[in-house]
Amino acid sequence: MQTFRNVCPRNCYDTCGMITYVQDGVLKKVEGDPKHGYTNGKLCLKGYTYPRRVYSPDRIKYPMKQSPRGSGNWTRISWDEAIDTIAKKILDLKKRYGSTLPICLDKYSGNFGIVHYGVEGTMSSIGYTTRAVGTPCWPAGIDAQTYDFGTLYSNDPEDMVNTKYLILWGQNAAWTAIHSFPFINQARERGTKLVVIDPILTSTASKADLYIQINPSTDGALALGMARYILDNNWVDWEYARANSLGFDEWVNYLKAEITLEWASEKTGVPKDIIMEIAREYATTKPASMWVGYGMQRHTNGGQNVRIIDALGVMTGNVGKSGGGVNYGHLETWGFNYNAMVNSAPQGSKGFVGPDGKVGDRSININNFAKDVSAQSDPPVKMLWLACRNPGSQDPDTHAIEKMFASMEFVVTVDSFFNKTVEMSDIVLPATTHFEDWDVMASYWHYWVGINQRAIDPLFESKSDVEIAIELSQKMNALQPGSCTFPTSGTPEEWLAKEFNPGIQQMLGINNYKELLNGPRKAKIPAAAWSDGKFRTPSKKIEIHSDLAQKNGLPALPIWVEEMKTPEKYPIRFMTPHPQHALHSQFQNLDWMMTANPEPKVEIHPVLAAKYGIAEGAMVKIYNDLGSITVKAHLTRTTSPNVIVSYESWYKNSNFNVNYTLKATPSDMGKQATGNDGLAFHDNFVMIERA
Amino acid sequence: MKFFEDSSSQALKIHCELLLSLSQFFAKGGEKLPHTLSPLLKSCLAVDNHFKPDQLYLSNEVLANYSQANGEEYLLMLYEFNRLFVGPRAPVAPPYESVHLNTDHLVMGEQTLTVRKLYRRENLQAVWQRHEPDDFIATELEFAAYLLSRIIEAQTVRNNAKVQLYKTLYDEFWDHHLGLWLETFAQLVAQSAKHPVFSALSSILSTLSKLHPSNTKEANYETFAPQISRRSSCCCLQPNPIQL
Repeated sequence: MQTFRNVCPRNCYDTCGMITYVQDGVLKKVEGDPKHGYTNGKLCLKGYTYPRRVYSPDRIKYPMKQSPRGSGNWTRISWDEAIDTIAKKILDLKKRYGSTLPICLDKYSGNFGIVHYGVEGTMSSIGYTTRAVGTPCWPAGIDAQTYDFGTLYSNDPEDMVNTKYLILWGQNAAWTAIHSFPFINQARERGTKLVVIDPILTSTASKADLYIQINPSTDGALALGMARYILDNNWVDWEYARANSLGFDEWVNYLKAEITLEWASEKTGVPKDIIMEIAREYATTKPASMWVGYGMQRHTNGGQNVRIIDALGVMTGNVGKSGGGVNYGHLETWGFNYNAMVNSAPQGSKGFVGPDGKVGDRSININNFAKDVSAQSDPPVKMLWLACRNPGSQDPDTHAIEKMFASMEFVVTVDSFFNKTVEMSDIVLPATTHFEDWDVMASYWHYWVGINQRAIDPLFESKSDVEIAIELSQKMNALQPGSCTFPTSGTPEEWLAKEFNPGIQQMLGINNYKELLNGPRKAKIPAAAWSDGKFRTPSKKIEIHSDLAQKNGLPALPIWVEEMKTPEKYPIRFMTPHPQHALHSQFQNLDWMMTANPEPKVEIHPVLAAKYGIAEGAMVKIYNDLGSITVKAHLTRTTSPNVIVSYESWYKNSNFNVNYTLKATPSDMGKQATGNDGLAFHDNFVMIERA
Repeated sequence: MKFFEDSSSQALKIHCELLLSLSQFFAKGGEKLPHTLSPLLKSCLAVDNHFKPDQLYLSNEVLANYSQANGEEYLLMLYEFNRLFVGPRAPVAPPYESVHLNTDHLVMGEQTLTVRKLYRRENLQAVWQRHEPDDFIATELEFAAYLLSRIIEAQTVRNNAKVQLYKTLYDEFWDHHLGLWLETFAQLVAQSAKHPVFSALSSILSTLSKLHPSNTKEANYETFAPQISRRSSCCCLQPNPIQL
């Protein structure tokens, strides 16, 4: 039996270190890497299904083409034919339009391995292209922390063992970051109180000492109510706040003038005495920590709510402290070379001329993908390349996505399993799983970096994104010399090696990437973010008053911004948080998951269900002016009477997709740090009826 | 008359040809049906003529009809082949033994490695070992045909011990592997097929299954396997390079 080191490359806080057991070239078992200080030898329920993902008979095995697109008429083709077809199409579009701008890349987090930025590298190497820019996940909160601190930078989650008071704010760690729980539990064993604030009584909330069911999108109001009470009782850490921030007193004046506990209670639906309780406890228990979840900022006022919570952390002196922090995420350990990503455009490439006069790629909004692609002219978008992304299942306004795809001349998707996006493609290329590839992974939550070895040979004819890029480059240059700059040599391990630089090696305490074969390494940075007081704002201080925010048309201060009002015609909020058995459109289609969770459900409060004559197990039509879905009802008091919940996930052989009802409503922030504003996923309003 | 009840060289050759033509049918894929459908028909006609199994003539009529089809009809068959056996949607009838016999229903299961070892005992390995499952139906059908060819060779030189050995090996392979899942696979195809050719295919596979009595006698294995001489119609197995 051989063992290998792997790292789960999914879009997940935990980015688990794994040990993979291989016998006779077959992956037999996976388990957590005991040398990984955050993973600690365990995976999650998704991680343990990995052998079933690798060896599922459902895997896409060979390059295939569909004639015509959307017909379901698939033909197996050779890699040579696939690459030849793609290369010729690229060159054809380049000839017709004078540039490769008609080719649009949509790539995101299906695989967050560093070498997988070779997908972007593929596009760079053929010329200037149209790129989906931004992030659907967390941009509002990133901008909030950028305005306040200069960037997002969270404490080491292992540091939670040191907290004396912990608020999980719109965060469902039990489902999405299970490995943090042992650290939380260690703190709790020493008396730490766990408070969970969430519109839904999640699995995490069920473990809380105090669960607060808040009206969605009003988290900033709760934080302001807490801040007012803290101010009134003089529990403020004036010394810290005034020494380390700009605009604190201005904000204090705002609190005095505009905020009352009564207002906060009415706005949030949280009883006044509870607001007082958690305010007192948070302010007076030292150190106290807050973990701000990504669901919390998926509202039209999401970014502003994060800013208010940041200010709460500052006013109590909990920023920059072990056991403290307003923790959202970080990118401190992502300082690789991105060698696979960066290739110069071929000589003579024509691109998009930006406002600064520089020539480059044309950007479109990843969070308004369908409409933005369709809106491009001069030149129009004619070809899509999808990798590590499934807009057919994950993007808002699925009807618009379908219409946009149908208007394309050519669509290429790289994936491991058939899904809605593959269904709408001309060619699908079979992707390797991470067990069949070399890579390196960092996390946006913990501080560990791990190497990912090729543990087994690629199954069937699957290839990695870099291998695909190499073949495309060879073909394009054979057809038209100089048309592609992607290097055409190097083994997968050599490509991995090129991602390392002295900076990242020093951070990890290694001299050579091969040392990671002995175990993952933790970055040598302080456990408490901002403990050095060196904030990365323009002023180098925490900017409670942010000129940059104001310049971007946002309030300068962390003041209350009204939540989206419930429309009269669609009075029910439809929240679509992250599921337990899947990570977006990955995993749910596997056999174990389909057994454990065979069909989607919508969770409805019994009072709301009774109002519409909906019984347990009945089929419900959920609709608004965008579209509708029909799904089975589950009656539960874990949600409130004006909120229904269905988990965003893609089920095998099912057209279930919450995004048929979801508009591409932007959140308030995201553009500053990530290129585009985020999505207000949880500001989706619908009507329901028995189907 | 069932297989081994009539173990004349002629019967064995007819049987071998059926196995090989079925192997080619799956190995070459839906894209090569214009090349593989006629040989399959030819071998089925020979089986019908010699063994006279029930209802096979009906399937043969279907094959005869569609082997003369035009390009458009072949396209429909191709799409159906991929829908049933390949993808990119989850194939309806994955053509791999471990998917059907292993409780995990995954490829590269325990059965895959077992048949790999059986091939290796005969100095053979699957052409795409480590990339494609060794228990792909085409590979197993080709191996079964190989074992029959060994019997035929042994009969030709009147080596009775070798004849008996390879009959036993064939029974072992059939009883513990190919024969165990072929009928299930055939039924799956029958239930799901949307094109008459594939309904006919499922009948042919069922017929093949019914030609074999069950026989669980264990083999005292001793290889008589020389270096395999490659026939042009073989494509799934190759000499094991380690043994060369």
